[in-house]
Amino acid sequence: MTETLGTYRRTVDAMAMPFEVFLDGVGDVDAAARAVDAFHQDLLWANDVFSLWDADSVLSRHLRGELTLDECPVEVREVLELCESFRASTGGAFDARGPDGSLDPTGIVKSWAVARATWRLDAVASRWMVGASGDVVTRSGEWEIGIANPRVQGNPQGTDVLDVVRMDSEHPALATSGGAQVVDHIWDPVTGEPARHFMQVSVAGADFVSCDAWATAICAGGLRTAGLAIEAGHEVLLIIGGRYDGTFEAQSSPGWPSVAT
Amino acid sequence: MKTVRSVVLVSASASMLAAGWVAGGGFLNSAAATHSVAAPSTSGSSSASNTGAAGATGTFDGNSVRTRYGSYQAEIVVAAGKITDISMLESGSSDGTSQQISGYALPQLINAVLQKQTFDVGYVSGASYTTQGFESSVQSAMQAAGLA
Repeated sequence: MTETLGTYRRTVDAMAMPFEVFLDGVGDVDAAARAVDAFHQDLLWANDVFSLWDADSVLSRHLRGELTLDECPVEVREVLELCESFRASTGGAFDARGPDGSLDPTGIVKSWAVARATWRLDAVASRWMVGASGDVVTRSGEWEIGIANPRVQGNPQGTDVLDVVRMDSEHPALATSGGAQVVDHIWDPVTGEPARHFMQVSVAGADFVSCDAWATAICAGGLRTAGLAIEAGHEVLLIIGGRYDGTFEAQSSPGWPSVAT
Repeated sequence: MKTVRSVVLVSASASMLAAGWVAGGGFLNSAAATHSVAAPSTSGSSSASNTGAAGATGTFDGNSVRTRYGSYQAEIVVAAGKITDISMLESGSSDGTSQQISGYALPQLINAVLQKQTFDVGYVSGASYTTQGFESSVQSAMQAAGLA
């Protein structure tokens, strides 16, 4: 970074979630603002297409049978096929079909939408970080990112961290699932009950959407799925349980990029 | 002593083992260490350039790595440069649940005890509702309420 280049930081809201965009090495602040505007619009578009909370979204209409898959934007097929590929690679642990058989790709829509939109940031910043409601993707350089204390909920003073990882070109993406902030939203595909294998699961790797899918899959499938994630080239941190004194029992893969001591 | 299934570990890599104990030593140097190395990975293949040099035979003990929940120390049996067995001379606390988990996961995972850290980080993964947007929203709500 030369001294003349600056930073640009903004939080945009989409899909009822905050997305923090941090740009570094910015030469033209106006261009950066326009790029983040466009990034934001991409996320809003994804929401309009994929939201299951919106009865008028393309996906909602498709699931009601009002639109065939061919009548939907090609991205709908892309996301549904991506869900199927993750179902296969995770041994069934990531499954977009709910216990009642309904299709819900929401688990990866957020990260898919972000990954699809980040090219806009590449054009205006030499390095950047996007925090997508708890999941993180970066480009270039090194970023120190905390892993949330799963016991802490919505503390406006800031979130306790249990670990700190260094994200770099080897591990540019990080996703965390489970935890106290959103309980019982992941189903165990074997039992059909809410999955409670771990308190919290973090996955670091090269691909943002894969990290997101694997974090969810490990929450759903437990230790066996964590093994599959590691074999697939990811690093994992499993928060197994809380101890009486406030510390946590945890396990991580040998290459987990922790910098905390 | 807790003997880990040797069947699983026959292919344990000497290079990974060496890397594991280097990491363990690093943690030991820090008074605040909470991350500990419990066992090597089994992935990868044996390397002649590392601890288990080609042809080496015998029993080798790793460093004892202390955590606040006990110490971990592994012992390996090497035959002709290949690890044929790994056992834990010390394996942490006597907590039943963690022992069971350790026994199951040792081939791929490293045990750790994590505690609250005071780090200045750029972002927190897993903190869905405590991002800048949330905080500024809380702040604006507090301002609207005349509290800030």
